[in-house]
Amino acid sequence: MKSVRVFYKKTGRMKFVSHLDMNRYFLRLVKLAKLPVWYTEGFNPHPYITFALPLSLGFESEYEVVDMRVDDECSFEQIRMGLSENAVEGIEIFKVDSPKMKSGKISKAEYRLEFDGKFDTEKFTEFLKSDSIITQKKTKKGVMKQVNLGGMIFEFDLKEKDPPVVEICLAAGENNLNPRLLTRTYTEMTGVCLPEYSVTRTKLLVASGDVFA
Amino acid sequence: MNKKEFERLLLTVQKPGRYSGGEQGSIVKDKEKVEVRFAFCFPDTYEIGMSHLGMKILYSQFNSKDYIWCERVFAPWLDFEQVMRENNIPLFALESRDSVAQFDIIGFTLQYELSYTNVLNMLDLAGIPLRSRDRKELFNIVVAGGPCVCNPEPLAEFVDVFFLGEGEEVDLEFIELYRQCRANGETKQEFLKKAAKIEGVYVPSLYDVEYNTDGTIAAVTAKQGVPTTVKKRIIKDLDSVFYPDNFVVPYIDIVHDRAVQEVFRGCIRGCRFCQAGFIYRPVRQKSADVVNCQAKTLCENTGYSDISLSSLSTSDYTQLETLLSGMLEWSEAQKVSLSLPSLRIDNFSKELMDKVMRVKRTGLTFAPEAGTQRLRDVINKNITEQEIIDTCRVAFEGGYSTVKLYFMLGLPTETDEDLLGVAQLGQKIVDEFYNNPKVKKGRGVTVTISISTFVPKPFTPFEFEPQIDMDEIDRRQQFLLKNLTTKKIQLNYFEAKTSFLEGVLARGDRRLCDVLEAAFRKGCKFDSWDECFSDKLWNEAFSECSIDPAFYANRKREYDEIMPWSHLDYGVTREFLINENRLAHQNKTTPNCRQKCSNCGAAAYGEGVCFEKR
Repeated sequence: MKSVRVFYKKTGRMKFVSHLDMNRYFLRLVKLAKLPVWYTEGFNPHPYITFALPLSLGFESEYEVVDMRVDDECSFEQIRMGLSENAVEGIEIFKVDSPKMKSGKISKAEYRLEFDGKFDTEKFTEFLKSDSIITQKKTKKGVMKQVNLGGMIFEFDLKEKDPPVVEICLAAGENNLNPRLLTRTYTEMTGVCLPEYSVTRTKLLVASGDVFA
Repeated sequence: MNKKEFERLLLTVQKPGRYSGGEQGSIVKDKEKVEVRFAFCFPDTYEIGMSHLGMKILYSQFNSKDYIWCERVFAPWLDFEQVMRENNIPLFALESRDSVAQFDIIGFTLQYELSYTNVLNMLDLAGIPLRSRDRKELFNIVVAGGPCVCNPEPLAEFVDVFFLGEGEEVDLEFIELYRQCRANGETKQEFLKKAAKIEGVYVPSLYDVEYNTDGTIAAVTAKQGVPTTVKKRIIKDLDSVFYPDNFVVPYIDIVHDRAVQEVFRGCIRGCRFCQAGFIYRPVRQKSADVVNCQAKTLCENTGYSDISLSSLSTSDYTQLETLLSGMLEWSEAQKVSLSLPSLRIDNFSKELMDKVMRVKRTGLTFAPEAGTQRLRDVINKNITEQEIIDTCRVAFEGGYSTVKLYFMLGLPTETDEDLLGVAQLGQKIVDEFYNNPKVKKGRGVTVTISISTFVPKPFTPFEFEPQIDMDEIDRRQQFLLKNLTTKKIQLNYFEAKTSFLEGVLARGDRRLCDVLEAAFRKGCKFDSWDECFSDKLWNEAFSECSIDPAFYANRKREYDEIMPWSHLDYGVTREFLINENRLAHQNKTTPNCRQKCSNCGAAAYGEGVCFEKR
């Protein structure tokens, strides 16, 4: 048995498939591809698969990662082909490799926010640059906790297109910042509403800035 | 509305996966290249509709024809309906996202009476006139099939065409006729008249109903030369009939998220309360080889790791042992687990249980239906208390520690003694668990007792019977509750008020069309959902239309009364139902179809169990 890492894109109608449902979908996909995957040996045997980092419902992604365990003889290409041939529209397998890093090391993610209309980009830039962006965030246990988003925003690039596109790198993993929370906080603090926008996650990174592999 | 805006709105509601489409196995065609577009509507949520086998069969079968594109439509849940109405989004089909109003044929499946208001709501959301007479073109033809069509009269003014019985053949004949008539430029009226001559097709507008002064039906008259009685259709050879080799596999969790393999149609048992046991006669089986082969293909194509063998009573399948052995040859290797719903207590063996449990253990559910032997004889549920206890023993010894039992309350001739019997039976099962030395304790036992209220249905021997009224239902429920003495027994009730409405609609006539529309206009929908059902609004609708619902639910019918469904022929004869009703009142049982033929009339179809050697 060996561990393999599958990289894929999730686009189009697939953005309506939640993290939990993706898990179920991949269990079936693995079965459709007839891959020699390792099954758990518990009460309810199922293929062992784990996702590197959940993706919010409604987001598209160009860089999703799922790990599974397969027979040693099974080649990366065989896995890529098997999954690709059976995947639905909106799931594109672009790489299969051996895992290089532990998924717990993911600490940043890059997003592309495509806005529907114009807005005051200078004001928004100013906001993104500030060190202290204090807001309330719900923890996993469901209690509200005060957090400073300031330290969770890394590089960003605001493209003055019409309409504007924002490429931004945010904290991810253990200490996660969802772009929706960021813009909601902007509206709360400034009273300025931003136009609607769609989100694509473009990359997962580790602390050093290297792409998660 | 553009796609972006639409998708943004989808993200504002719960479970957008209900409406997004794009599932594995869904079929997308080029709409310019098809001739007939069929909107297959299930008048309930996505999770329920997507669990329904009939829809899966017809969806695949229609789409196997190049000239038809069949798409799926479900009732939007309340939150999305509000979004749709606020943003002028018409009801749409999942595959193309086109408005249902653009479809040639709009087909509903009627699985339960309490979905009728959803039918109206869905037509309204599509912007289609509710009444058949207000839709004048040969377009947007509204059709309906499913078990409730055995008395479709409460929907007679809304639906153009009903299909009686099994759809695989008649539906395609109908669609083909539509295609021809449209090509010839015929009117809707000309088309309907031709359609009514296809066996199994009922066009309610071509039948007039007259009433007596006491409110009962005086006569039903066929007009314009259409048949005086409409005969249901059946598929004669189940081995050769179309069966899907793939399903649309949802992403979101649905009620039955697994592959389903049909094994046989009909039921040999003849339990007197059970409509399905009569309207699907005669019993016709698929051969074990065909079932095995279809099941394997389905698992391979869908990626499902659970498959259930579907029928009204799977343990009555004569080739069950052969089938299970055959299936285990591949299912274990492919990590597919089998489940067998609808097992009967009297032939549940240790061997059977071991086979089912081989890959994954699922729950155990039985339906004794009544608490005493006398009442079980009345309803012709031919199982004994000893069989129930023995089955539970086998199950407990095999490691099960939870058992679910279904009962009905309000069966004809039921007394308090019968209700006490329910409580006592539950207690005996609990005792069996604790007194059996071979049972590993540790976890403790849970016996769940689910009580539904009996609703008399057309084409059963109880179609003549009054339903007990609401106060009496309440009293009997309380009585049962009072007589349960252990916490090892969990008691669940189904809402009694909805059973009453179900009883009204099940045996209703055309005068209920106005009530149905009034109720819908007041906001009634999803009546089978406790959080949506409003008896207050329904009562208003009844009184505004000057209709007494008790006339339909709580009235005893004479054997010679003309029923609203008397012009429909489901194979079983009125004489047989009367005879069965008499036997019920004498506490006498009737042997099952394999033991002895009771001349129900279904043999007229010339197939199935009626011609097996006994």
